[in-house]
Amino acid sequence: MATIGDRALQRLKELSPPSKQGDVAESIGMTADAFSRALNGKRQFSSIELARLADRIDADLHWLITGKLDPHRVSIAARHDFNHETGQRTIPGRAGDEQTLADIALAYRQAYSEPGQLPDWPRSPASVRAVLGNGFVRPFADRLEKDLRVEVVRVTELSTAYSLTIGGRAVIAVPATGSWFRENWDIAHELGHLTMGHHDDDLNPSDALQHEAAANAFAAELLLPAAELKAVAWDLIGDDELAALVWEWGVSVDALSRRLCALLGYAPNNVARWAAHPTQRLLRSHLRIESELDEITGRMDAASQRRFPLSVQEAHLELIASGAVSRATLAWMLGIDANSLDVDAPEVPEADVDDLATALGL
Amino acid sequence: MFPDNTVLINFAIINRMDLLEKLANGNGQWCATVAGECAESAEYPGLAALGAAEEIFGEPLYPSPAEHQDVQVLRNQLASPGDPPTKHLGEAETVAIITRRRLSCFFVTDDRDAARLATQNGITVTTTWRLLQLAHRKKTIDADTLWGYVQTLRGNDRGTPPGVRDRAAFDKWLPT
Repeated sequence: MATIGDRALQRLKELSPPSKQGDVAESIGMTADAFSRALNGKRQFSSIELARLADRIDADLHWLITGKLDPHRVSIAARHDFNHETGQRTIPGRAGDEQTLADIALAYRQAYSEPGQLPDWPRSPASVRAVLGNGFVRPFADRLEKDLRVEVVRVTELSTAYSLTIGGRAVIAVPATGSWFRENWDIAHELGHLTMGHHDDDLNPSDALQHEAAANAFAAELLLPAAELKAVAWDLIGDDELAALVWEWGVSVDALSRRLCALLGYAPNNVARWAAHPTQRLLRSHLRIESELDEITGRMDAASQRRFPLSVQEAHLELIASGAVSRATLAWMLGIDANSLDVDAPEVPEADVDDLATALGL
Repeated sequence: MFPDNTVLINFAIINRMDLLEKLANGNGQWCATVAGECAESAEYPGLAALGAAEEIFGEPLYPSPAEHQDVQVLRNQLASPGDPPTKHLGEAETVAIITRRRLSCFFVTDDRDAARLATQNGITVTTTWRLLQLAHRKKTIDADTLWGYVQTLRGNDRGTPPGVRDRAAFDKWLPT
């Protein structure tokens, strides 16, 4: 039966460029002799040696220990920035987002010790729309959680949107920017990645770019269905009607303009005119909604709030009460200091001095 | 008696590894990750005394493959957002080894979360301060010397005994 050492040796042989065993040993704080003996099963690895080794040889730690895929493994797809001038897709903030993605994954791994099973989602934008129901864009995150078992996290720390599968649970993580139309597109785009099963590890760059284009096409059809758009008399549309449509669909005028270009071959005059301005300007000037509240600011406020699903928070509360996890992750989810989080947690009894003396024979 | 590295560092800061040896009284054991962390800490200025830990705790215990799996679960429970992947491994490995091998022992840690997790797994925990209290109870150190240690450790951001802010509070805490 293969051992930890066998699997480590296997990965060492696969390294490209190759690394000498002695160099690997030194980089993980082991002597060459201790490393060699550990690889050959004549000595065990300590936990810290193994964690450093997994990182150094780019191996999954759970696989290294067990030879099996980690049931809690995390797979990530990211929303790329698309440069409309050059056609290039990039993720400039990916490195800076790694820690936040790891923290989100930690919150889920702590909350759910048993791995889940990803749902069998409808594949087409039309069938997803049917499941989510009319007017889904306004409570988009809530509908996703209720109807598709896709959870939505919103944090300020991210530079772009991501979708993650964490131990068989689907999570869309979006940056809290206050831009609700950008957020809707982010969520729709990431939902496309999830429903199309784009969360393969070790994707080559060409496939990754194809996935990006497919996810964007999914988002476009989900939020701006071609049939609905083609039914509008765009060349006659007035400012008030345009504002009402943008508000209803939950997209920016710029996104609408690009979608119409793709569908009609041109951007209608009034859409192109407003696409050059912030969407908020059109809405502030021309949106006619009967409400005593400032609905436009309300949407912006909602899109700037830190958000973790209540189910994850409740799971943490139970675990804190049982002593299984600390308050730190729940406090982080809530964006508050752990010391100010007033939740029930068990006392930790400390050994009595006399008992200690007896046990130590003093 | 299994220590974590925070406790070893405390005794090194007050330069009393000899006191730790007396308290362990031949009952010291440690896991391999704590031993490794201790060796790395000994390289830092002012912590060379940690070199004596090997004498006190002997050959470290290494986790089996099953214990490595337990370590991952326990480390996950101990982690906080922002922690690097290697943080908490010493405490998790200690708890995993004690639990799976059903060792009858104390775990000495000043990490509240590690203490909570150890307790949840049925392990009795104690702290640096309790060990120092014990040393005073056994007349190995006097109150003035121990008060000096408290001040040294506080000056090194290692905390204070619970509720101890001044000498009066210290004198009240000492016999508890």
